Amino acid sequence: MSATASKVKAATYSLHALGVFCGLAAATWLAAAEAPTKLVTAGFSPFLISLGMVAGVFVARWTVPVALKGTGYVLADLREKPHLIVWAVVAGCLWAVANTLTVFAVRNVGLSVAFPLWNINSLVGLFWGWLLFRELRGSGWGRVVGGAVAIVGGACLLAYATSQHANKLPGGAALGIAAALSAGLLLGTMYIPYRKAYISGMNPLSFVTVFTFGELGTVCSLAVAFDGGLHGVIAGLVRARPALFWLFLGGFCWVVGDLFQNYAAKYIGIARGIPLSNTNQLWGLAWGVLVFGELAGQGVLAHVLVFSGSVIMIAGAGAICTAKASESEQSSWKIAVERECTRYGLDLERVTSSLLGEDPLADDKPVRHWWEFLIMAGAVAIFVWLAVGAKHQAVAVDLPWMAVLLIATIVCLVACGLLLWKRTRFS
Amino acid sequence: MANLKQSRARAVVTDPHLWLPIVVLIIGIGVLVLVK
Repeated sequence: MSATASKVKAATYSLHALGVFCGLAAATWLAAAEAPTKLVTAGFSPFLISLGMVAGVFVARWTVPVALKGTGYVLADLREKPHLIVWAVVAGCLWAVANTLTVFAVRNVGLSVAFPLWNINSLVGLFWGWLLFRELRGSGWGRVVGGAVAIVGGACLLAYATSQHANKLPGGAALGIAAALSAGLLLGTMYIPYRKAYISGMNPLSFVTVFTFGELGTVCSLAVAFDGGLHGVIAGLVRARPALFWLFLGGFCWVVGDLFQNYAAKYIGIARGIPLSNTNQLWGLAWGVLVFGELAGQGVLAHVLVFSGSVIMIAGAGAICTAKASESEQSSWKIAVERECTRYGLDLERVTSSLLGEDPLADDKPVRHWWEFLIMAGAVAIFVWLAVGAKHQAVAVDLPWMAVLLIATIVCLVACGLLLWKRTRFS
Repeated sequence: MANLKQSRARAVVTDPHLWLPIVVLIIGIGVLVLVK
């Protein structure tokens, strides 16, 4: 094997490990982000909950990229691949609708059962990865498909467990399941724009900066259309003011998790990265059961079904993600990259370099601006202002367990953030 | 430059990778109307 080939192989293994860590870190933060949706039981409209979260997401999605890379970098990246702006906006729209659906699902069937159901998005993403981006072409695809089948089995088990779940809302369980499954379809399809962006060499930080316009615009439109018009939404936000801090916090957690998920999608593809980040169902289960006591009062059968379904789903995701892409599959990925470069006139060398964890854009030394400090200070000020007016919500929580889960979540952030920085400088 | 912009714009609107997510988005909004 030549020195060059050896170097490329070493880099590939390293990036696989990095992608796996990113997926795992994403899982902890995406799960933590869902906890505030429990506030829906405190009497707020699902649209309002979604709007509150997305407003928090909007603030964080601007602030984190600015802090890590600067506006000059993000703008240069967008100028180099302007055609991806439309995909980022569409992905944001998909996320916003899916997020609203998840809030309905949590309201109807509870976090610990709704959460695994919308995790079918990993199957959807896997399928799109195979069909559109030439993933899973080559040896080793069997383990991935086997894992996918296990995920379907686990989801069916959880759906059955859901039907045992007591619900007083009219058609509650059925509507909750429909909402969760639809959210899964939308979230799975959202990975098409993700992968599209990354095989074109875009930085995930640039992608999410544009993504946020699609999500905020869509969720505002949904709230105005379905939640009593503009006046109704404003009145609802005023009423929900004491809860807004928690929703913003949920949005912030989602942004961190989503960024890790984006890096996983970039470095190991959506067929592997998304199932791995969807182990957030384990963390979601932990939040739901340990912190919110969701399965309290349920029969033994419901406990057994939820637990078994979750374990099967995790085993499936684990099988998928321990299946490293073979050389033949990587050649197939390369064809998809070349196709994008040809179609949109991109520089193949720069795109390939970006996919290897390098940062060709940083070599151009984009300048940092003084207003970036203002953006970060403004974001912090918004969170502080909301925190000052925050009130304890009428939702019972187990504080010791909450502390344990929060510490685990923060450890994941620091560890994976350092790995990303050392290997790619957040490229 | 103008030619590159034009050809990219044409490539975007004829790219099935764009229309697929848009169709799914419309389906999602439909489900949302049903379950709200």
